[in-house]
Amino acid sequence: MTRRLPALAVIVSVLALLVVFGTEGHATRTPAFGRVNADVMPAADPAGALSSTWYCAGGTATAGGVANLTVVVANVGASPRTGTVTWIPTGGGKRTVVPLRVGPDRSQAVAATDSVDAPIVSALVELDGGEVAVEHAVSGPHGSAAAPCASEPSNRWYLANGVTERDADETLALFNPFPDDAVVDIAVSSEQGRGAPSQLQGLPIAAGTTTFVRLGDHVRYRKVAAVAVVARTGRLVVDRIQSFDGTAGRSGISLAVAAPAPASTWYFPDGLYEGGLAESWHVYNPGDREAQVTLEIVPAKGNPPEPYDITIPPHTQQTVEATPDRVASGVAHSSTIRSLNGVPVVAERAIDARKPAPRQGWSSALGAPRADRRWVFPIGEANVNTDEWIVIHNPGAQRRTVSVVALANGQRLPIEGLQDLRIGPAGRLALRLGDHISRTPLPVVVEADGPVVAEREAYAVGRLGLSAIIGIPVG
Amino acid sequence: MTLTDNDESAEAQAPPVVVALVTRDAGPWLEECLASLAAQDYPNLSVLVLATGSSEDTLARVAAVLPSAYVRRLDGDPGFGPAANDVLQVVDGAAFYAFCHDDVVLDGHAIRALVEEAYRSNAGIVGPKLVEWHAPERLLQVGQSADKGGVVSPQVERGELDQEQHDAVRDVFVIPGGFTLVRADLFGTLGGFDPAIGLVGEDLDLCWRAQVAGARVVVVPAARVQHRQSLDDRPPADPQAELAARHRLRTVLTCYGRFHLLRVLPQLLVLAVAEIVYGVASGRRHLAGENIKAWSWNLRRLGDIRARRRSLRAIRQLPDSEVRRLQVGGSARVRGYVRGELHAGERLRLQLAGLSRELSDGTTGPLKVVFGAWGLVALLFLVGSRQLLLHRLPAVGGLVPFDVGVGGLLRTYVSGWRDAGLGAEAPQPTAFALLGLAGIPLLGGMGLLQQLLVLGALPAGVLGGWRLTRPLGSRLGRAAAMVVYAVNPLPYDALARGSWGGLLLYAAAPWILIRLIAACGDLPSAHGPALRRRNLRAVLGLGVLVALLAAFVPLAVVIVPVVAAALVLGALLTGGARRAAGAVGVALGASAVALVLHLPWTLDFALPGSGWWATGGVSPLVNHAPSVADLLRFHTRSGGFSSLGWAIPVAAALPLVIGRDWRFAWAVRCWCVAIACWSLAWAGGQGLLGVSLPPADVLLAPGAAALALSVALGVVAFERDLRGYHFGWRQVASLVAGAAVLLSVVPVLVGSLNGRWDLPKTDLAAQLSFMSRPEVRAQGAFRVLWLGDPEVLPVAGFRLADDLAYGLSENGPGTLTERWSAPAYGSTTLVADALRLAGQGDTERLGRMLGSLGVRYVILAERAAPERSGAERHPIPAGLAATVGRQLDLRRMDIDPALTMYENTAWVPERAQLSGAAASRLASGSPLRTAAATDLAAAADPVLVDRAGHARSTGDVGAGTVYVAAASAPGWQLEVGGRTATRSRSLGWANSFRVQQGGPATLRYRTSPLRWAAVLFQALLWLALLVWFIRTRPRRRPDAGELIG
Repeated sequence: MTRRLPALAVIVSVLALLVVFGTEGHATRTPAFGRVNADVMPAADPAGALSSTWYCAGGTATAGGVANLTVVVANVGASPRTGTVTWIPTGGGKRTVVPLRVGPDRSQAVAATDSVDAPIVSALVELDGGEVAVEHAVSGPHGSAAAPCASEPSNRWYLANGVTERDADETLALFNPFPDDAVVDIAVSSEQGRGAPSQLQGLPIAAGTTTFVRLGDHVRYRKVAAVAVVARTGRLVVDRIQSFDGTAGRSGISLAVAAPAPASTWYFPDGLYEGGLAESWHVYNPGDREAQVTLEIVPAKGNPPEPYDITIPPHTQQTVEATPDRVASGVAHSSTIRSLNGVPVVAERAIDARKPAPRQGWSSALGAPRADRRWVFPIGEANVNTDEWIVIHNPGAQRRTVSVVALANGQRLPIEGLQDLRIGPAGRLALRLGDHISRTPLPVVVEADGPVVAEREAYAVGRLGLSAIIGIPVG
Repeated sequence: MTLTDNDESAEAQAPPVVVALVTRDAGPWLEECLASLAAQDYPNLSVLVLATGSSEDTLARVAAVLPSAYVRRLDGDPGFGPAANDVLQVVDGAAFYAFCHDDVVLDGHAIRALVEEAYRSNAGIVGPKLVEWHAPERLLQVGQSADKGGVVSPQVERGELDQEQHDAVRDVFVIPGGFTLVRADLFGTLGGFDPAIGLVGEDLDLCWRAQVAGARVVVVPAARVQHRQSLDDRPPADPQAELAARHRLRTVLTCYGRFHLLRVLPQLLVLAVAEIVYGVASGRRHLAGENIKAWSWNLRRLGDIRARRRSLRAIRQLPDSEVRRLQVGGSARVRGYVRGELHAGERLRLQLAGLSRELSDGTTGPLKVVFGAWGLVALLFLVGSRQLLLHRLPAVGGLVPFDVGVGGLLRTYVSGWRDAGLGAEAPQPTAFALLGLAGIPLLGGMGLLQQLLVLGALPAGVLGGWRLTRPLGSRLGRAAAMVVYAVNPLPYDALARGSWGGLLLYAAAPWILIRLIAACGDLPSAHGPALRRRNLRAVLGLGVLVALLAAFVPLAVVIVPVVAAALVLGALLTGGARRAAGAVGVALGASAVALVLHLPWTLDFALPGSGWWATGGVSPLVNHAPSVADLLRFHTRSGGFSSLGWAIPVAAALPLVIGRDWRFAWAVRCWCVAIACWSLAWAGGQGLLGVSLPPADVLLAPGAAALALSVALGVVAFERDLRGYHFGWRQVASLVAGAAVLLSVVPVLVGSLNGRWDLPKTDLAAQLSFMSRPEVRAQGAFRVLWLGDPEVLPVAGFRLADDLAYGLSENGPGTLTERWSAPAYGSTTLVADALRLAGQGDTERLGRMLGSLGVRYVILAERAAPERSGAERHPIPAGLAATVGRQLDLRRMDIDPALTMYENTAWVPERAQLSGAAASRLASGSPLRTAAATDLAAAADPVLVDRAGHARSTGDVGAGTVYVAAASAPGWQLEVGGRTATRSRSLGWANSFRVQQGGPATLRYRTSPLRWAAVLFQALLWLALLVWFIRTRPRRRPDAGELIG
């Protein structure tokens, strides 16, 4: 057979090709669909979104409550949004649904005490489209504080800071809006190491309820108490309400939503330390690998200091105090916590303002894990009682142009003097709103021609109250 | 009273008997008949010969033998009955008439015995035992029975040896013609024979009427009469069968009272229609003609029949129920078909002879090898399947339970409403009709049908593997190929994974290859010239085979031409491509035939936009495949002795290295087929083809069959070619190949030990049985949304992403009819839209969205069977699990680790009464947005919860709005208290009805005339093809072996 060799050659060649290129099968390949993890920070859905849901975890709704809850909804889109605020009380009262309609370029505040009376209350805000941002505020005898609500539930939440010392009360609000019970484990990392209080293991959170956990009852007298809340089953939303009674010199209340995931980079546009004003960074590594991170500080004037590198073992936290050897006193600055080995971490920056500082209060909040072009601040006011600042940081290598717009009863009001401002690479802008506008309320939108990070600082004038939180990016 | 020859007084007192002998053109047997009459020992006997026909010499012939007989010549040929009626005119004073054919011979005491018994039994009609003319020891008739339709049924086996086993006197329904003794007064009362019945059937008519008149009909076996049955020598003008049919019907129309006639006549009509259809279908037009003529002949004589009914009514003594006690139950005609037409025993004998011929057909090789191979294969099958043969198959993957009956399948098939997804007006898969029809001969035993179609695939494939190698003429080669095909892991892996499609392809692949090889026409045959079949019959034959396969795996219409192309490619390498190219033509033609035969279902995947996804049938389309190493070993799942799987390709490689001439050429073609299958499976798994393909076990089956043929070619080459080589490596290669064949048995041998081929022992039915509870059903009709790998879902899936599908089942975990894939008709894509929105994080109200579609349960399936079964795991994408997990209205249920199940707290029953503002929101054209923003469930109450068949439900509804979560279609109708409610489109995709006044209601889908026309067209198409095959079937002359048996 004269054709034997060519035929065999073809067969063998094809078989060889198959074997060479086909060593790996895909019998167990897992397809991709949907997002596994929630966004690291709360974010408003884009304009085309079908709906928006926000989860505001913790507060009270009683006369004279320590942290009475109010939600503020800002619509930065061009269409009105309708929906509901569902107050979900725990320990008394019935679930109450309050219809909501927010016109374009407007904000609306809804107070829990108007609808329910309960020692614990959470809010579920549902609207029929995107470009809506929701913040919640708590107020009481220790002052008031605000923070974004969570835009997604998650089965794990992290906080890098918290205080359970004698003068402090750190309360975790665990909000389960789902029809299933959730069971969670809470672990605490403090300056004394890692702990998992037995009472906080397998903690059930009944369907449609909120549980307050006073961390000080389980982990006493910790200067720093970073927290990991991991659900065995179910999903939830976690807030931290931190308050100080003033017996140790510090006082005030702080509200923060936890982070559903760690991130590689955290931006803090603002920062300052000087006499009476202490600043610290808290970095928590909830993972199983050691994290190598660095703290980069860019002062408003002068040369930046050398980055400060930190090694954080798994499941531990580290605190970096602002000291003269790291940053110049009295010089405002922006800062960035960046992971050097790719191990994601959770980072907060705390400010403890006591006399003789001109403003008093305590605030600790997560940074921004990403930069964006548009940031919303639903809560705000600039008047004689409140000194509000917007601080913008450009983490990129290109110069950016930013403008600040107020949402004034259905109108987009470009704030005079705050239009087309330029920020150089790694630069920052601190804008005092009261110098340009006086309004109550004053929801604002920061718009840039490239990714920036925006933070709002609000100080109560002549009284206790300090809030420093990152804005809500609009997708 | 007993008469004796010697008793003169008794002779004088013997009742006179007149024998009326009707003769027509009689042969020499007339004299014998007359002689037997002359020899009768009955003392008072007269003979009247009634001569009809054209014969002129009757008088002389009678005079020569029986001079005492009277001869009366009648004009023309009125027939036996009318001629015999002449006795009423010409005979007077007789006590009995004996009506006698001219071709009988009576024993000497026959008449005496009959008369004696007539008196003893007080019988009106008596008859003798009829025996064969030439062999009096063999029986013809000993009386007859008849069924309700007048079809006579013999009491004895014709030709049975007479050992006096039937010699008891007994009542019968009919005394068959030949010799019949009738009391003269009875005959007069009855008016003689029916004058309209000349020949054939006059005996039935007379006996039946006699019984109606209260007379007994008795057979007297002591009287023996030889009957020549010479009617064939003197055929009547009309065929006997035709005469029998029309006379039988006339008798029935005459003899029954009104009530029984009303009962029986419709049955006869149905039977007649069935016979006409059968006659047309089987090419036996005479059968159809007989029935048509019988009815038309009688319809033309209705006036005469009415008159005879009147006269019979006047003398009726017994009700029909009494008369019918001597009739046989059921239909003697159907039994006759079973015995006479199907010839089951005969066919079995012929098939055994065929098998014997098959076994001895080879020209070379020891027969014991063949028997050994068959024994091994049979043993493997029985041992390996022992736990499956007598038990219900678990519902794993594609092995859905056959939980729909024959009627349900056929009703679903004709319906214009397809339940797939959210439903649509679309054609049904032909398989529903095929399965329904297949269930009929099994008397609706659908479980048995499933066993046959699933487990039967194994022996069917092996038999095909045996037949595939028939032309080679080597017993050893055929045995080796059969064993290699039988031990290929492909079908067992398919069974373990619940891949019904893989099993069907395994069964069909060798039969397809046989026809493609015949189309090539150049594989030499050991039994004669090379078989070459590429004519119309070959195309249609393969087309029907492909059509049957495509009813379950539609992509077969693509696979077959690919296999043919691979054969031609092989021929290009070795020569003969031009001849082999015919195979491609035949394959393409066959695929075209299959597509036509499946019209209108074909439109599901042929029309633009219908979607490739619908081509899966019972076999889902996937985007993954095992590694090439596994593919080469036909190993499609983990576990087993996979390394020994190399034995099959090793054994099949032998003809490539030692084969010469056509052995080598055909081995190359076989390998090309195998390579094509491997490549297809691998490229499909890699996503290189741009489309999803069925799992590897479906694609590899033709390759497995081709390699089995290659093994046989290797043996033939060993027998014929090896001797031409010097001793060397080729001999070693032959030994290795032989060892490989033996080794290839080991994995399957081991796999057979568990008795179920690793098919899981349990399914998810128990875990999901709560869905069938009455309290759950009472809450309203619902859908179950399945998410997961298409191979894991118990229902046909629609594509969501690569290897991720969603499927919908109604009111439970899925039924047989929900297994067939379909395009994502119209609104079905809403499910995917909702899931994608949720996946993007656009909504946390997926439950409300799905709830408006009637989805009550959402199940994320990782395995096709419970976790403990060890069924293969196909992980759910973490993103999907997270997406579903973060929904606010889905409540998790713990069922089994293999399933992540949620109950939708915001579900709306498929048929619900909506109240308040919710009803007003139905007018919205944005289904998902509206559903997400509205809590429809809070305003919905279930209605129409009683399912009354396919696309039909009943129940009470109140005034207001009734929402039906099925795709909007004008065919949906809601009747409330006899009034039709106004239908409108709701939520942009569903139906809602405005009910003015509540009451009992019926919701149904009315199938359009177009669908009925399509069903009729398809039925006629298959019927026409069947008729064509029957009428053009090659007439095979039985050989000596068949004749001898």
